[in-house]
Amino acid sequence: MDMEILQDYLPEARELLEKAQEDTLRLEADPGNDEVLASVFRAFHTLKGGAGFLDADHLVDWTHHLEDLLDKLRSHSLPVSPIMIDTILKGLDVIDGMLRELAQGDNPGAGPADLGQVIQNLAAGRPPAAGNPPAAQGIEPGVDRTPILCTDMDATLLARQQSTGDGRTGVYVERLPEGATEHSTGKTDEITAEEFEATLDALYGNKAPGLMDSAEAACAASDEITEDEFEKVLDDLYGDQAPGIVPAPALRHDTPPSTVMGAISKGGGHAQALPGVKADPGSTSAVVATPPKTGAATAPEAAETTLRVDAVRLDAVMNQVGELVLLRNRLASAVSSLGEENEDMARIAREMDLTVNDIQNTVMRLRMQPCKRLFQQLPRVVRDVSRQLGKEVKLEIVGEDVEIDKTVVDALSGPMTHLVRNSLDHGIEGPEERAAAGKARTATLRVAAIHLGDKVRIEVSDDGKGIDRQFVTQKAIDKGVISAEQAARLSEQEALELIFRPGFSTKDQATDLSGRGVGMDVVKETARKLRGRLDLQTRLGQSTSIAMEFPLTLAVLPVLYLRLRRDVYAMPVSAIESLIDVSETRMHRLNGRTVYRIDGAQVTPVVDLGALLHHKPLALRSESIEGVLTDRGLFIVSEVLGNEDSVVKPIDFLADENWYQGATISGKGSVVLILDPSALTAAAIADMEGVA
Amino acid sequence: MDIQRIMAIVEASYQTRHSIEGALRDIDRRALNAMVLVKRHGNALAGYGVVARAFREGAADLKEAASHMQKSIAPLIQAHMRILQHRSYADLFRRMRETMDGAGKICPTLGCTEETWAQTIAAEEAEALNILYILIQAVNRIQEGIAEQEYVVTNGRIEAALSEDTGAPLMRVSRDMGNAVGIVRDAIRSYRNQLEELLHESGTGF
Repeated sequence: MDMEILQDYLPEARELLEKAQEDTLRLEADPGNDEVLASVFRAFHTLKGGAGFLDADHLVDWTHHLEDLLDKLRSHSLPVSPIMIDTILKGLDVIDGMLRELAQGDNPGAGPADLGQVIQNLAAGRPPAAGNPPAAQGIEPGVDRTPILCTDMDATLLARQQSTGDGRTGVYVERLPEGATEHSTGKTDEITAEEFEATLDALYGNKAPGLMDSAEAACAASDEITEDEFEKVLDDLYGDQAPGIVPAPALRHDTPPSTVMGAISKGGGHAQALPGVKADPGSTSAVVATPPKTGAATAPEAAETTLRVDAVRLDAVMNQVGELVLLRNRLASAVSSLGEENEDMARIAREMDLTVNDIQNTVMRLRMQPCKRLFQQLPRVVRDVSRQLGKEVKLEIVGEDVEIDKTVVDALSGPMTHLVRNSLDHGIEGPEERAAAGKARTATLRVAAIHLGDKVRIEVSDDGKGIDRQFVTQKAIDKGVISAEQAARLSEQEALELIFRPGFSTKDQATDLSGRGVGMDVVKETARKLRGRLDLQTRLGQSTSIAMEFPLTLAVLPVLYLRLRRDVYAMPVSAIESLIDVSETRMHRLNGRTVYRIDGAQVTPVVDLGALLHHKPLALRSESIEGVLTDRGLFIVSEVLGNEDSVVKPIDFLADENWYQGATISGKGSVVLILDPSALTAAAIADMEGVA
Repeated sequence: MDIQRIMAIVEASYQTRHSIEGALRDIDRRALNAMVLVKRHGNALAGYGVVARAFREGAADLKEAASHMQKSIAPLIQAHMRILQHRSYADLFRRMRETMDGAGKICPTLGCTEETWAQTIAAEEAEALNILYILIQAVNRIQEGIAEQEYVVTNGRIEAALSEDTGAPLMRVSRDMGNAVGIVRDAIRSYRNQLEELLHESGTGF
């Protein structure tokens, strides 16, 4: 297997697969949409073409069967039915598995035989489970249906003239399965090869696409065409102006499939624009139509404006920019210590600052990807799970265009599925229960991405039954996640957040959807690793919303430097709400915890960093103190020093459970630990409870 | 100048220092708060970021100027305390000479000593005046810094108005910054008035 071709093929194939899945789901809602049908067909056709270059025969066969089915749907020979949608989706899952095998360097094995048979049966118009003869339904009245017999291969070609999706007239040639001729078409319907030629001549004169001398030639010598024949077809279609501006001889066996796939797929109509080309061996149908010229004109432009780059190279650039940011900080610090007399140096430092900021932003944007990539799997999940659970759910997706770091998009795929499945399984009620509660039978599940300054907020919310805090607390006690004493001290929010604890589940028996107490823990851990924040809001009987907030980029982390006695630490700016002047009169003891009254309504836990990190609490009266208010609590420190854009260096030598997000190098060149506010707050609360 | 007057100056200096230190800490914290707020909004508030940084740098300059002012206060008080002490000595010699004169005795040494004390006091008054001028210059620098900070706050208000659609509470931040600067301005203005009274009392006018 040519690994270079494989490297080109895999990403494009995955995109095609995702697009095909999305389109198939659209097809379910809008079965008569010719554009969507054509799009799915093209996806299979293109996948097949690329797989052919890799000699992935089983993938070729599999996509071919699906292509076959789609072709029937596209030509309206068969109506779109729910079972077909299910089958196509299952077929896509098989392709996904095959692509994974390819990614591991293995040649994919054959797809499941029973599903393959179902696909073939459906394509032949038979019931999915039986080998019944294909039905002749789906052919519009008045369509010229002219079957011919290919004596060489004992197969029947069914040719008919029909309008294509773009309004042109084409001839559809379809090979019926062996043995199907006698059932589906009487002897009287058969035409000879000469009659078929006559039909083609009548349509195209001497310029019949396919450049076959006769229908027998089309059927003869297997389905494969020679390279010369392929070139000839391209020459006839495009002359010297073949799309992609690639000289015709270059499109040979050594041409990467992406080039070929691009030429076929771009412009939409290209798959149809290769009449008679049997680059897809075994194809039982081909649409004969004049290629739309617009597609050929736009393809080269599209190719010139995008560039596929290995993510490893982007990561390397990002790391180098990170080092540049650290150097910039050191330069700025060194220049500021020189004093005002070095005005030139100060100016250079300022310009350097601006330039590095620009580079940083540009490189950051290189890694940004739209949330659409993250959300596109969800319609399928919602569809399958809601069916499995017998629930009626409407999925709303908002903010697909919002962009976020590629690392976040890649890492969130699993957690998003967990959140959606959790919502469907635990949050959303069945239609009857909803109706009894005075709600619409169809629940709404909303997935949204919202851009908030330097963060992106991703929300999964539903209008289900909400989360019962007492029920959750009791379950947590029953399952040994917390003790009854600990439960008594929990605030409402902390009780709700028990659902994120490992091993917690409200179910006593695990099902294939939930019950193992893993999913929400994965969500929490992923959010933590990505320097994100979780927010859970619920109203009993009405709704639940779980939101995750992530920084736009993980490459650079703005931090605030803090002094704790003689030590300097950093805290992510994203965690900080404000800096406050701590007043002793606002400190109180509540349920064994020290809390701070921020205003009339807000009370937050106090996290004394002196007590945690130095094992000696900061003395309010004899030491200088300042407060850093975060969403987790009020951190008491000696002094707030200032902020800086830093680059996080992982601390691999510490245990997984620690109080630091990593380390950075300050402008003064010293290594500074970056505090993890969530972990510190949890530790402070645990300490206080231990003391109490 | 009497001891009450000196005590009033000491008290005013202490109050001013206390007030300025607190207000400068507040200004610094507000500047940092603004910078955190700006960072949390990404590039959308980059303009306000420049303002916040300038505000923090201004706060650092004010702190520096306040420390210069502080350096002059103690020498000024010491100088005036010395003047008071030496005046009392000079008074003592004057009374002794007057007593001797009343008794019909002539003591030229006493007159000479009295003259010496008068010259010493004059030199010390000149030195105290010089320190007072230095102190007033330090106060001037603080007032210039405050004027610059007020200019930054005005720019901040303009930037806040321009960035209103971001939803960040910049107007409130700017208002808080303005209030913190106002506290320093009022405290230093009051202190300057007292110093000018002292200068007036010193007989040179202002």
